[in-house]
Amino acid sequence: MSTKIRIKSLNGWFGEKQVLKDINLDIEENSITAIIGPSGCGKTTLIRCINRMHEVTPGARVEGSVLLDEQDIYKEDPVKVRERIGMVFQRPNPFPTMSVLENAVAGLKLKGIRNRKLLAEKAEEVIKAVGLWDEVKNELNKPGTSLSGGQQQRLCIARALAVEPEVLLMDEPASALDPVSTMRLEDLIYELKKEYTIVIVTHNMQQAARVSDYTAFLYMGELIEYSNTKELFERPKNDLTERYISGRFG
Amino acid sequence: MGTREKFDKDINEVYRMLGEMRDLAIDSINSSMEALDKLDEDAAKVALRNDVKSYDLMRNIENRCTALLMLQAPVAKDLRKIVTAMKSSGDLNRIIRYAKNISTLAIEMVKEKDEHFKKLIGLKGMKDKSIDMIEKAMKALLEENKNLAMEVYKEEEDVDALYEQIFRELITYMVEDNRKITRGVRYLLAGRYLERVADHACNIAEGAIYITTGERIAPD
Ligand SMILES: Nc1ncnc2c1ncn2[C@@H]1O[C@H](COP(=O)(O)OP(=O)(O)O)[C@@H](O)[C@H]1O
Ligand SMILES: [Mg+2]
Repeated sequence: MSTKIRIKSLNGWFGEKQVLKDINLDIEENSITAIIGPSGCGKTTLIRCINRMHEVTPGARVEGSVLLDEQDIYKEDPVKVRERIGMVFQRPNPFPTMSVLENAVAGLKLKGIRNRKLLAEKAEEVIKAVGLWDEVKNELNKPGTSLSGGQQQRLCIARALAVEPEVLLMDEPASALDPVSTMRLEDLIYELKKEYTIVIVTHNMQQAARVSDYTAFLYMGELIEYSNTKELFERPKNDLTERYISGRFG
Repeated sequence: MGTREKFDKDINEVYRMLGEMRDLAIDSINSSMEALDKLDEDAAKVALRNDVKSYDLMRNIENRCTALLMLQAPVAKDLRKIVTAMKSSGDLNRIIRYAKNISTLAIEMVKEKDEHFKKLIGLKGMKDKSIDMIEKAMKALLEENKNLAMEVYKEEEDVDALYEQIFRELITYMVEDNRKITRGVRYLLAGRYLERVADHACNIAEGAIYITTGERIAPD
């Protein structure tokens, strides 16, 4: 077991407003780490700091460091960082003008790869990896947006996988999905951890308990508790954590 | 009523029923030992009746806890309380079963017109200790008191020592006079049942520690 990502004294702002306060967090390689906490506590901001997306927002600022394999990503080319650390968003967002197949390899095309045979092979590989192949193999040329919500989300994961990242960040990836699609997505996430390090933001505590190895509880920009998932849900150490996960908040 | 309030109300109801089971358990042990001591068939019947009530309570607790697990997916202390309630109701029900077994011994002696060949001092000592353990363990459970639960563990050693003593004493009686064997075996069985009662009281104490701290500390 080794640390894939090391977050050290991370602080984040939107303008004057500090939304992340001195976060220290080590994320284990080939594991699933869940980030939970009430809405507005900074979950999205935190994972956006992990692939240098936060700073893209005008007025947003980051201090501290995020080490990927012990190298500070804030000292590297952000485009390269985002290739190694992929992201899947809350709402499935396939590119509407592209077919299923084009969507899957959109990232590779952006990188300038034009070889059609190579692109087709890669598309098949990643669509298979997300368990979508049998469902879409006869609809590869239809628009990506014609798929069901659950299929679209898996297509977006395929798209993220195509650029061969090492880490996948997921921001409430199941929040727009029905229960059956959610289960399939959770199974997929579980499969993917063999090859990737996964950080998943979820507002669904049962989901965090089901899929993750480690859970971090964030509250008002602070990391309140971080431990292995079973421990955190069976015997949280902090009273705030206890109250939040037991639904005694507010 | 909000979901959270409803949940608290259901859990409180489960623990109220556990309190009821504790009362039945203590009543059963007292009356079955009274039955054995006085060879009183009416006293013996108390544990038989309590066993039926206890079984219903246990099933009721199980059903409520199952529903809470299913509907609320509880975590943290909520989860620990539910898991422990289910286990402890089983322990209390077993305790009442053992009291019932003691009542059965009393009824057999009455039927066979037996008389005691000795005073049941050691067994009474075991009874007092095990009732004390049940009371303490249940208090620890309801008040989430780890120290009190640890005291129960210590008392179990006393019960074991008493049983050991009774065992040796009765062997001597039976070796000396083989007409005492049937009655001697019944006393021994009663001791054995009380020793089991104390063991279940320890399980309840273990649950109290788990609820309070999240740790499983086994008695050694
Ligand atoms: N683009 C933005 N501009 C200004 N404030 C923002 C912006 N996005 C989020 N915030 C604020 O930052 C805090 C953290 O937000 P966010 O990371 O999205 O929380 P979460 O994902 O946990 O719901 C919130 O108080 C939110 O209002
Ligand atoms: Mg968010």
